[in-house]
Amino acid sequence: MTAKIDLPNLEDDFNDSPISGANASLTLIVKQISAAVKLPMAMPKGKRREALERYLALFTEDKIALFMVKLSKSIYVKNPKFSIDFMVRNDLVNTLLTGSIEASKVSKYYNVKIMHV
Amino acid sequence: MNCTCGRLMGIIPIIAEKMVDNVALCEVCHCTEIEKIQHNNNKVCSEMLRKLGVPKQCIGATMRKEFCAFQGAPSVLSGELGLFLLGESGVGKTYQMIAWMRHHIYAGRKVAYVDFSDFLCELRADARKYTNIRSLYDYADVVFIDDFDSSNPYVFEFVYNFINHLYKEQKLMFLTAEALPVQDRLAMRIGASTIQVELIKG
Ligand SMILES: [Zn+2]
Repeated sequence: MTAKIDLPNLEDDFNDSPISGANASLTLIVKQISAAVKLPMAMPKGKRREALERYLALFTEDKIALFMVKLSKSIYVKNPKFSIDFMVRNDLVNTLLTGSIEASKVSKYYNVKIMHV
Repeated sequence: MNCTCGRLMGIIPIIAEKMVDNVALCEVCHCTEIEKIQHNNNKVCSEMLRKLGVPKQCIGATMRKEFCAFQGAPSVLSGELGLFLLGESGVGKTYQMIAWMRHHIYAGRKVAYVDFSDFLCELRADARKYTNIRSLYDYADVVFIDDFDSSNPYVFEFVYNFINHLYKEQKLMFLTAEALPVQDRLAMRIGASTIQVELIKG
């Protein structure tokens, strides 16, 4: 099952751009991140772009989709310093998908595990 | 113990309302007998859950492998720790909790089910009855609390007292809720006696 997320105006923007293949999926992911954190995100260039590609290649599409949902509900939504670079450097996909840092943040006494049902 | 056919016999629980007996049976030589016992166990267990007020649609909940695919599951299966199931509504928290309830019935533990919204309603109707309400669950080894909520400051002291009482009496606790309690005192008790598992659809 693929998690759903509201992506405002994504379809329109996306259809306007003449992109295809791997570029298209990378562009789509950047747009999804942008929508999730409600901040405009530019496509990284050069080495940063390569790092992003390498990082995303570690995950399945389903995992990325779930990550978008978690990201949109995470503390990063309110962080104006959030960037794609930050996401890659801090391994946010794994951070958000294992151990729900938000739930654990509620109290130091908790250590929340995640179970996909 | 070995069967006359040479195979190692398995331990099969026989569930009755007040207790669970264990018998050693051979899965080949006694297969019809085992089938009968399992059928009857299922019936008795469902009847117990019905009497305890478990939601009808959850009574038949079965423990599937993926129900315990979380880190720390063995200590919950063995009865060392309870479980705090959190997640959005509709994700199946109650269903899964009832599967754990069946597990503990099969293990011979006495179980109680608390519909927490009913608990709060009774408390609000007459707070003087709190001790009586609390004592309703004294018989149980494992207390299952559905839809736990500690967000109402007017009843928090009662809610904390209830959880603290279960903790001190060393009862196993299973809870479902949309979120983890934020109050430190409560978090300390729940953190020490449960594994917290967030259910996510997908
Ligand atoms: Zn035999």
